[in-house]
Amino acid sequence: MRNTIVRCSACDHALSLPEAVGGGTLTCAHCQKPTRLWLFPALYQTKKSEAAQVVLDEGHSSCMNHPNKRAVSVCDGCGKFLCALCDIDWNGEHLCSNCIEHRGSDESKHSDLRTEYIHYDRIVFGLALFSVVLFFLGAFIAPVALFMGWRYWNEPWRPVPYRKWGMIFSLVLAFVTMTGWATYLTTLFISF
Amino acid sequence: MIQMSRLPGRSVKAFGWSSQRHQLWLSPEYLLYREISGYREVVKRYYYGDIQAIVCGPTNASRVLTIILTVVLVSMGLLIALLAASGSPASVIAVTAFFMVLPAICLVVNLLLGPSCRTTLYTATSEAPLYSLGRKRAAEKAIALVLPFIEAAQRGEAPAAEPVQAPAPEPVGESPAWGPPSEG
Repeated sequence: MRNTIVRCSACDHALSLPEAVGGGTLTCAHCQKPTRLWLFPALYQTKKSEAAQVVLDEGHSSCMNHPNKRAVSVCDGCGKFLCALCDIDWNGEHLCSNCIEHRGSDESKHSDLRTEYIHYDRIVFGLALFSVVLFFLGAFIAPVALFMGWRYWNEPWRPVPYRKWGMIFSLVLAFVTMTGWATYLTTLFISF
Repeated sequence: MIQMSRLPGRSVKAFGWSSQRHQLWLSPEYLLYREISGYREVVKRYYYGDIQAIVCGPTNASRVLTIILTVVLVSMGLLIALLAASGSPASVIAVTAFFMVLPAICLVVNLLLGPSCRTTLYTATSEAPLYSLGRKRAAEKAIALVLPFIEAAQRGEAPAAEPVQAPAPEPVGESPAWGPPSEG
């Protein structure tokens, strides 16, 4: 059974798909444009919720969230009994929605749940660059850049592999600017 | 950190003063779609087991761009010819010719990238346009790299534990597995 409507890329009309998986070209019946398609077995799989419509038999454990449904697994996070509807397969673990939510709040440990990243290395580079260009504000901006570099050094900046050379360069730049300012202010103080 | 490799194709979309870059990455467990705008990045993970279909259809974007750039270049060429015929100074002609460089580069790049397309990925809960696969050549190359992972995941095989080495791109079969639908 298929629930997903696959649309033509050109005219957005629903395509009449063949009942088979694989790749091929299909001509849209509406706009007559050829569309490349790759269909996978997941398209024809029965929805899990339908499998969960099993009424509890006597002698079976029930789901903690749906008392009239048969438990099919135990949550690996909290040990709750779960029916097929509540059981979430997460990287080989069986989890309930509460445990998924709980893990989501601690994104740093579960990078697979994180959907937003801040490129702190770029922010620090921007600040370091500003501290040089806007020389008179450098005394204030460079320490901010150094603080941010220290504060977010261990945060994941990107979901893909990256190097920290850019951040190191930015921190050196900010440090040099700050040192320049310190030397200038010290000289100024001594001269008075 | 999970080993990942970047798939062919990229896209830059401008929204007023800001722009958004799109990239697609391959990991052992999922397809990672990155939307980068400035210092912020939003990612979407499509687990191979959840992907139901990928659709890639042609669009007119590259053709329209080619026509526009050609018209611009021809117009500027005519302008240079007129300036030369009217005896304008060489510096004026040189400056006008200089303005032709950018559209000419854009035209060459557009032609090199090939025909444009729109690629959409379907899961049970989402219909996600993959803007990074906006050119047919890149899209077919990227999809050929992803297919083995999706097929392995949906056959029930364990995902590769080793660092992902993108397999050599295989040409996507030209002969259709099925033909056009019957009329009516």
